[in-house]
Amino acid sequence: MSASAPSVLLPRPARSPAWLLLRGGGLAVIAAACWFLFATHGFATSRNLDAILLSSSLVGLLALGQTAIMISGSFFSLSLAATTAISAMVFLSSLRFGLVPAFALALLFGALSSGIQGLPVGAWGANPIIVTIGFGSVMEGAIVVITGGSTVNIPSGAPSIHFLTSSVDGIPFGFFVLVAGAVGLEFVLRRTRLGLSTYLVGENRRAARAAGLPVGGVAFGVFVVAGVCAAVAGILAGAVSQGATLSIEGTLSFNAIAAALIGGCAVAGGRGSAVATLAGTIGISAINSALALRNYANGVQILVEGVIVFVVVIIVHLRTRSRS
Amino acid sequence: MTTHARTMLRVVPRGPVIFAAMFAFLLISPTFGTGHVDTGSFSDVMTTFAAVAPVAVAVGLGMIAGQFDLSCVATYGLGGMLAVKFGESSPVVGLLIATGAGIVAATIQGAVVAFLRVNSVPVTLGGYLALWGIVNLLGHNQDVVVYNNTGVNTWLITPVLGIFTVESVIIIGVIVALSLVLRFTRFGTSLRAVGGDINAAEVAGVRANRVLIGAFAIGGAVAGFGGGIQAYALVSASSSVSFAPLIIAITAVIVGGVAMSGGRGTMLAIATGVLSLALLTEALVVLNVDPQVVTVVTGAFLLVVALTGASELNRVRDMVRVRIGLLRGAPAS
Repeated sequence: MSASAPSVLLPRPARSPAWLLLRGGGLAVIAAACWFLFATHGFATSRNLDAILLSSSLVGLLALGQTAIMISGSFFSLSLAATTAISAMVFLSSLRFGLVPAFALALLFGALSSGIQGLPVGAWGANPIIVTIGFGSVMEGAIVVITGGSTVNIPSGAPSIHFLTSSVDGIPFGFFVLVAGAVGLEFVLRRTRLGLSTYLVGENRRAARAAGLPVGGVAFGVFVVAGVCAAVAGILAGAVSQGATLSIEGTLSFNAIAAALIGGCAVAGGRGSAVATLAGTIGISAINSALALRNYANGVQILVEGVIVFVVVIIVHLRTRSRS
Repeated sequence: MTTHARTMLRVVPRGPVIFAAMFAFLLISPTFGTGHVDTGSFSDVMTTFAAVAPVAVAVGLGMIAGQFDLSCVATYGLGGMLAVKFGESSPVVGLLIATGAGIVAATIQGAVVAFLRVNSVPVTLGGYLALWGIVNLLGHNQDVVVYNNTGVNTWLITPVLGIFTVESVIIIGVIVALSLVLRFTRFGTSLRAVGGDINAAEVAGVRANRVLIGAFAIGGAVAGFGGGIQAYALVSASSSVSFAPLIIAITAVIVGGVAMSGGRGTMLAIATGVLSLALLTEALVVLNVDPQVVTVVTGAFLLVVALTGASELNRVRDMVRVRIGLLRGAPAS
């Protein structure tokens, strides 16, 4: 656009009633949710807010990984929780070699074990859900056979990892890592060629391949990113629980996928953002916290999460459809 | 490999071959392990079959329709919980409620997928979580909710013809009925058409929305009913919905020969797949294998099937062939 040419003011497109209803309804729901949260007794205390940030950290890191995979059109990985737990084990047991080697080995494990799943998904179009389910089962079974089912503890004489569980002004270290990860991932997605290729591959895989984009490389890349995120989460989890078993997995996989979906990621690929996923993670953590403070049963939290995922997925789909 | 041999390999169906292999594996396993194979082993196989088949049918129906239903394992759990809670005085009422709830839960999700054309994966993920929450609430987060009507249990586990039980006969009956529906009604043909290419099917006049919702509803009914029956057979229901049975069901369905891409598959294929997995796990029991190794083996099974059934494998294979041909100096063909 040259400076000399006058810019043409195009008329704003007319907004359909359905669009207005969706927008208005969405804002109303968010407003109602905020009211629900802050009207909960004990919610707005610094101690509770710090607890929310802590519980967000692990889920959020995995959610970032799921976001990258989702944007590339490969649905999600159901083995990330296993990667987290096993990375925790690798990290703790590698502390005998020193702090830096332990970090390096854990991150390397996460990157490779997840990346290797991305290869058939990217290169051959294998179904990512099934590949990751299968690989996850193999990893879980193998690690139990290797460790004999016992907890992996911090070896004696290992360097101190206390800083991993410290907090600044009440905000846990893990949350800073999460925010840094979200900002970093967002930068890669929006400003690098790899990131832009990821969106394109997710949008239309065949067209991207025809255009010469490295579809296999992109899939490998997003799975590596997810694996690294899971490994970081594993390192934090291992430090917090001072011992690592498969129980670290919990329901991490589903919470992470739910957080990414609630943050607006489309499972079909082509849209999503790391920052929105971060917001979705904190939102879900906050809602769970409020529900717990109001003495609702565990089942209510899971039910609410499921309903929110259901509704948000529909809304995101409708918005994408109305745009195209 | 000659062209003829390659064509023959493509024609041979995966499901029956794997079934025969697993059957043989079970028969020869005593030579390598400490256990032995007798009618008890086969009756264990049928018990596993009765437990896994309902979820596999639901997943399989969804896959034939070109969708991926992650929630059917939760519907199965819900069916069990409802049957136990409401079927104390009348098991039939309990089963009706379980089946009905399954239909409702599945139809809601199916309607969203059909009318809004939302991807079934995240929709059924939300459904899975929501149903799990409901099961948890109904069971008050207790690990096990006991069913107090033991008469039904005694009846369900009565042996029939040596290796079957009343429970497995009922499940087999449901599968046979469904296979007749899929093979001989227009619904069955429409289901495969919708699963293969939904747009082409609609152009050809198929009421895709009805077919999709129907597939979900039938899957939900079978899952709910199966969950109820299983709860009666075990005299209990669980408040937690584990994802593991879904993994086994997906493996069974794909191993049996249902195409991951949709549009192809039969009830017989699903049943064959479930039987193959049941035979495999029984063989591993005879071999006295660590339960964790069983997890590894089924996971590896799933991986191999997923990798060999990958949609773009043909493209990769052709590309490799072209490159080798070019290297040799032959014209690409």
